[in-house]
Amino acid sequence: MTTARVLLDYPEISREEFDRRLALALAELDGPEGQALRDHIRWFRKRYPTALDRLRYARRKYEQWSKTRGIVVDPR
Amino acid sequence: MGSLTATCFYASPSKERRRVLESATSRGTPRLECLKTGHHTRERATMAEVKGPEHDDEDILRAIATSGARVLLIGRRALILLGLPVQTNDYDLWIHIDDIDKLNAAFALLDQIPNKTPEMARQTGRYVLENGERIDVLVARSASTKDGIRLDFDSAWQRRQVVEAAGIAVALPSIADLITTKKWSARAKDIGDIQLLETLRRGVD
Repeated sequence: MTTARVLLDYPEISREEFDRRLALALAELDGPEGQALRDHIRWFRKRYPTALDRLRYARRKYEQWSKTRGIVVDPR
Repeated sequence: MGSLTATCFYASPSKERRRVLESATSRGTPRLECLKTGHHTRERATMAEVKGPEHDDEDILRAIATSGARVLLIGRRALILLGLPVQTNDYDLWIHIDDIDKLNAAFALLDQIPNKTPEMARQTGRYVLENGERIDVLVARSASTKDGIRLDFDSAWQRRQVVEAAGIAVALPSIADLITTKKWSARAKDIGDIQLLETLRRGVD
C-alpha cells in the first residue's frame, strides 16, 4: 500500500518532537503570536487580493531569493 | 495558451534523450512513446511549439483544470492560494490514481515531461512532471499520518473546496484535510504551515 511516506524528501523529526512543537505552535495562537499571524495574513490577502496575485508574488519572491542565496556578507 | 517559440522542443538533442514522452493519438488518447525510436511528427511539433519551458501560474492552473483529471492542489501553493504568506518552488498535486494519463496529456502542452510511466507511478505512488517547472504528483489512493490518521483521496475529493484564480476553478482539500496532509511527513517546516492553516480555520477577519 502506498502511503504518504513517499513524499518524504526532507529530514524528519520524531513524531513525539513533532507533536510537542505543534502543540506549542497551536498554543501560541491564543496569544500575541496568534494576533501577529492574523495581522500578517490580513495584510497579505489585502495586498494580493486574488489567488493569481498571490501565486505570482510568491514566484517573484522565490526568484529573488534564489538569485541572492549563498551570498555571504563579510562582517569585517 | 502561450506564445509560440521558434525552436521545436523535440528537435533538441538534449530533449531527445528523454525517455518518456506523452503524445496524442488520432483518437485523442494519450500514449507514451520513446523519443529514441519515435519520429518527429506534425502532432508533436504542434504541441511543442505551443509554449517554451517557462510558465506562468495561470498556464499551470489552466492545464490542471482542463485536463479532466481529478486533481487536488496540495502543499504550499494551496496555502498561498488561500492567502497564507509562505514560499515554495514547486507544485504539489494529489490526483486520482486512474487519471495519470489525463494529467500528463494536459501538461504535455507545456512541455512538462513525466519522469515515470503511469504504471511505474502507480507502483511507487508518486512521480514528477519536470522541465521548466517541478510538479510533484502524488497518486496514492490514501495516505496516513504517523499517528495513523488515514486520508483517502475519494473522501478528500468529496470535501474539496474550490478557489478561483483568473477565472480558473482550482480544487483544494478542505482546510482540515490540508492540515492532515501537512502531518503526513511531519517535517519541522510543516508545523508553521499547520499553525497558519489553523489560524485561517479559526478566522482572520
